[in-house]
Amino acid sequence: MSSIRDTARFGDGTLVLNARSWETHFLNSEAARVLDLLRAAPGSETELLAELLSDEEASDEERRRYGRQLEEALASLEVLGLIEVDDEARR
Amino acid sequence: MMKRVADAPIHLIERALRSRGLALDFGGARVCVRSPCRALAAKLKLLYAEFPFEEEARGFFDVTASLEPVRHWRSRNEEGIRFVVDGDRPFEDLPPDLDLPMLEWGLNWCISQRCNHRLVLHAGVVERAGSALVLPALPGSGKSTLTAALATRGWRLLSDEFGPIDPDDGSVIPMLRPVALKNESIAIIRRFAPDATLGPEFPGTHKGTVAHLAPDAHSVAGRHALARPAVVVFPKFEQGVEPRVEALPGAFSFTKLAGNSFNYSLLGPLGFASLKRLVQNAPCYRIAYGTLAQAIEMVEGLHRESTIVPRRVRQPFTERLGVSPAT
Repeated sequence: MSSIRDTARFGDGTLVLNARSWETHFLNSEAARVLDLLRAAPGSETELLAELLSDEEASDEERRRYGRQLEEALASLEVLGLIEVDDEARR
Repeated sequence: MMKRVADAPIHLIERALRSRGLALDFGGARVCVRSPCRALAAKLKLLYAEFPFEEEARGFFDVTASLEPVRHWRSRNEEGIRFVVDGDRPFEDLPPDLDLPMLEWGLNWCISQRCNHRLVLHAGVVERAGSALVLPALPGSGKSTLTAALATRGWRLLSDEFGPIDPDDGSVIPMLRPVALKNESIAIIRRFAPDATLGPEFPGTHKGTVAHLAPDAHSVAGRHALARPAVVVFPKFEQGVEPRVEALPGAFSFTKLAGNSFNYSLLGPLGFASLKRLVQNAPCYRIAYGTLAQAIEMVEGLHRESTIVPRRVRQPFTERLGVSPAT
């Protein structure tokens, strides 16, 4: 997570400065929450999903849908260079 | 007491321009201007009247630039003028009678290119009671007209073009220059402030007719006084529109200001931190207006609301206009 240099939180979203590219990225509240969780402690998709839905009573279908959205969000954050996939942990 | 440019005999200004240069202190930058073009001296004397006059330019200058006549190699007739800085000629030559606009545009360009130790917004900035009203806008939005009008109504002018933000404390640094007015705006300001000093009109430029409003003595005296940004207002003139004001949410304001800045993308962490502090501390609004009077009422109301703690409960200005709070 060292690629995040600074963040600015506002009611309509969070701005993140990428320390490597010096680009500024706008994140909605869900994406910002994912990033916060990963900054606090690295984790797997399954762990993240469990944490994000810990206060929700979600059906299996809702969990699957949310899981797909989380997967897309993580892919976007990775493309932006804001998170890294730990290949060793994945294995 | 230091002599003003207005008090200097024209031959001394001409001599300064021809020799070591005419030193001009804008507050946030010092420039040295040289030129053998005799007609320039009278125009500078009028528009920089309240600035201190130094017979010999000495010390450090952020910009040293010259305006030079261009002669054809077979003729000694002057055919044009050229803006030169550090031996470079960044612009096409212009007719000699556009000497002042060319100098002002050239100096603007130099400041926008060189002031990269701080975030620079493209904005008009005026101040009252230490609190700045920041007016960032695209060309054609009425920014300069509104800035000029406020400057003739007792507001201290900091700039009509540049809003440099001090990286240490977030204050706005003056970059005091004549206000460049274009086309219809010239007559509007002449009517609005008949006593204000406007320079000659220059028709036929690539921006149409331009004229400049001279900064007043109060603004020149305060050109080294920084001001805390109290409110940011994006103005937009629209012919015949009903006036409206809209509070802008923080992240949206941040991205809008980043796009408005001359150098946000160059500065990385410094730019990010400067904008973060600005948006966290100054509420941001967008206004649309059809007349100058409407715009002045709106921005003065927003500025008053952001700087004064009322002693009695009264209906806020934004509420009277039906503005929903920022989300």
